[in-house]
Amino acid sequence: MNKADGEKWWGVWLLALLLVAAPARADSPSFRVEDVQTRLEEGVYVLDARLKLHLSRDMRGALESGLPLVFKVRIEVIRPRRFLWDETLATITQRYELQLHPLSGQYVLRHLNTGIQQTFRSLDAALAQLGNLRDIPVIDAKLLAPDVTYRGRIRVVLDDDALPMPLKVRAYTRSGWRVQAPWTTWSLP
Amino acid sequence: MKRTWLSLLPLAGLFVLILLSLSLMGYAAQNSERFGQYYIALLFFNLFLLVLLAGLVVVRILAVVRDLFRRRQGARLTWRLLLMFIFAALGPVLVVYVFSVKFLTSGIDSWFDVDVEHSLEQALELSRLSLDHRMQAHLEEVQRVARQLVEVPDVLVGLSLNDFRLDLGARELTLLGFKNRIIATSTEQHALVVPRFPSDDIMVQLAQGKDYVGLEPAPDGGLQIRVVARLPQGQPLAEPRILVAVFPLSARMSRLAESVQQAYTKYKGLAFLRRPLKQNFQITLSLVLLVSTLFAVWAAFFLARRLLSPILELAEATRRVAEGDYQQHIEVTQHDELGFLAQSFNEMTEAIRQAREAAEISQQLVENQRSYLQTVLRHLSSGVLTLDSALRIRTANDAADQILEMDRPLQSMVGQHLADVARARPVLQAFYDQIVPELLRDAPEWQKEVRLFGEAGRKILICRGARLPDQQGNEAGQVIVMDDVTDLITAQRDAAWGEVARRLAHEIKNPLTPIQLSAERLAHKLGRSLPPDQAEILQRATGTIVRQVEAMRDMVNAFRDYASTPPAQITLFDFNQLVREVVDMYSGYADHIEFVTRLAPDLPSLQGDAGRLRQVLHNLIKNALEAIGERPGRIELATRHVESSKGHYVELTVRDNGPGIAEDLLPQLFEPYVTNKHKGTGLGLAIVKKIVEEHGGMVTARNAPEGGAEFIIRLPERYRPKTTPAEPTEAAA
Repeated sequence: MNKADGEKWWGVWLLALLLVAAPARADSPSFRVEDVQTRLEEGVYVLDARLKLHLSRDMRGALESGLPLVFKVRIEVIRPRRFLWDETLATITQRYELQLHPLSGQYVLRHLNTGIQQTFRSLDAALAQLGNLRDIPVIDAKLLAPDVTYRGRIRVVLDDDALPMPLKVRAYTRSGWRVQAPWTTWSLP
Repeated sequence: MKRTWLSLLPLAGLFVLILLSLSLMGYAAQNSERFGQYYIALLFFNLFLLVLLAGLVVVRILAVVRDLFRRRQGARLTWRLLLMFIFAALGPVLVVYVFSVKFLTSGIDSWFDVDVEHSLEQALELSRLSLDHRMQAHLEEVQRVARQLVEVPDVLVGLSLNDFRLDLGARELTLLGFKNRIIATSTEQHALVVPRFPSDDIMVQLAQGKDYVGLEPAPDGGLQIRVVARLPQGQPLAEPRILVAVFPLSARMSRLAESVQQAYTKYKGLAFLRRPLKQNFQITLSLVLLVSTLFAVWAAFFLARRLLSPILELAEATRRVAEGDYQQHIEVTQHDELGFLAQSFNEMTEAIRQAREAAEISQQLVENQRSYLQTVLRHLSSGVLTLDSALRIRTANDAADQILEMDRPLQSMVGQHLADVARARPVLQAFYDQIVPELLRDAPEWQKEVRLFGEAGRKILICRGARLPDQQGNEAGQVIVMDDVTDLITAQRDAAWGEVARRLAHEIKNPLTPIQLSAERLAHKLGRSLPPDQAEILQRATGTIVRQVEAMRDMVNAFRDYASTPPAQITLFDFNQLVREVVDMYSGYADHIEFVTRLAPDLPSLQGDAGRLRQVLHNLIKNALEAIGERPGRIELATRHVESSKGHYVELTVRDNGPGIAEDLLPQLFEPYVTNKHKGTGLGLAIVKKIVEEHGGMVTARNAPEGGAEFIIRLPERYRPKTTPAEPTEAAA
């Protein structure tokens, strides 16, 4: 009952917190791109990347409670322009859903773009698989001007929209849900 | 009032917007699949609106607080009403809020139950156990097949694999070589399906010498059992091979297991979301609370203004009425008690205005009458003096000042006792002494002749007194009307003397000539015939007759001269010169008299009849000489220029060092035949007075303090003929 009393005013405090940025905490999740490269294969640039996904305790808790998490890998090809804003030539979004299957104790990783699913006995194995991006077609080489250096960038984020409703507010307020996901850029070709 | 309603519109709009947005948010919270993505946006939008609303409310509150500090009218009442409204609204809202939060949290908490959780876990465990049994059976079957497969040559593996698969009832059976090389595969479906390779961790387990069996969700829904088993190695250096088999779970089993798992997952998910869910509800409730509170505050503003505006209007109007502005009219817009109050106020101000106007009119009337009376009084030649019952001065007119020879207007001494005012004012004192018995007698009416001796000599006043009617608030007093009848009496006397002179001239002068002639004839005829001694007697007697007749004729002539007024011959001349000439004439005539002249050098030339004024000088000097007699004496003549409020005068003072004037003669000194001398006609000073008055001047006589008589003549610089005494009213004015 004591705990409930303490929680009663949580909403009020939350409103105050919404107005003041909460300081980042040690347990904040981070999704980093460790390595990314493109290569030309049959006239199409394909991307290989290695992602390092560190989940927070809150996220792991959510997964263990059977809630699905959706990761969004976002790849953009940009033509830098000197006087105008940069032009985005292509945007590729790959969505992966990770969920625990309690009966089998397996983690199910589903590539939402294709529907292919894999099962893993441990979360780390699933995350390792998720972080191992292979042969993702980015852009047809014909679309790129030969004498221009393009820029590509990639990052992984948690899809807030796919979170269950009650967690959405937390994704903005709790450091355990605020993912640090910086863009990683490389030049193309 | 219309303006107030209009000013409420934007805020009411904001409120409706917030309510709409809040209800949308609530809807989004309930239907997270469809509107969940808008929840955060709505939340921020609501927060923005709230901040806007709060800002507006704070601005209003600050305005009221500022008014409070500036002590503006109505600020305190507004503040109190505001606090009352806010507290009245806040209490119930807070109670509802607290109870809602309490019920909500306890409601959500009540979903969760240790027993339910435990049962669910046990159900899951039960499913697992029953599946474990089946899984174990499948593992053993696959291991058996794996052992049999070792014997099968590679070329036949494909065919036998299909047989094995059918035999096992598996959905998929794949033989993998080194590095996941597919050696052979057999699937239930005819479509070409790339078999899935075992994941790394399974490979690790196999490397440790343990075959793998596991449950996993099937791609088409439901569950399947995957078995990965090593093939026993025939030769030591042979390629390690693994057999992967996938078994479908029966539809019924799968459905049951799935439903258990779903229930479990749902429960676990809800348990995990319990706190965020409660927080979300709390946020929404808090937002609703804030909106309600802020709107209550705003409504309090509106209500306070609406309630107070007629009262403030009334207060303002009352203040202006208190300042004397009776043109206040309050528009009656409400039909409640306030409207009735406003209407009553209007009626009251109207009544006050009418009463005031009536009072002003009557006051104007009184003022008019008063000024009319004052004008009449001021232009009255009779002096009017009113006293209250204690003989204090109430009013007096200018004529009273003139008659009583006041140095200050009596009107300026209103409220002072007449006796106090009379002190040190001899004329007023004499007046007071004579009328005070009548005043004290308090008769309704009285009349009395008062004799005063003023600057211009004797004054005779006819005073009439009357008791004033009692007035409310004013004690009854007396009004005294006085007329200066001196001139009238003088004129009457002059006229009488003129008549006497004319009669005398006619009746006496006529027989004088025959008397004289007869006496001369007697002397002439009888003188020679009588003896000398008798002739001498005759001579002496006739001589006496002739002389006396002569004297009588002179006397009659003088008297006629006095009574008749020859036309004046007006010239401009030097009065000092005239005095010098006359004094020169006399200085040779009497050696025992010392003449002293002190003539003012700045004396302006005088307009008048020089011949008649010379007569005045002669008469005055002659009078002085007669007063001094044979003793050595001194006659002093002084002139000076006098400027007084009544005009410019030339003043001549003639002073002798004779015995002075007998006190009993003094009042009638200038009347004909008033004399204490044996010689003379008795007309000298009367003629002086007559001539001086003909010039508009004034003559007074008194006994000088150092002895002797002193005559003072004042002549106006410009000849001002005295009006005929036949019109005493004008003369007095």
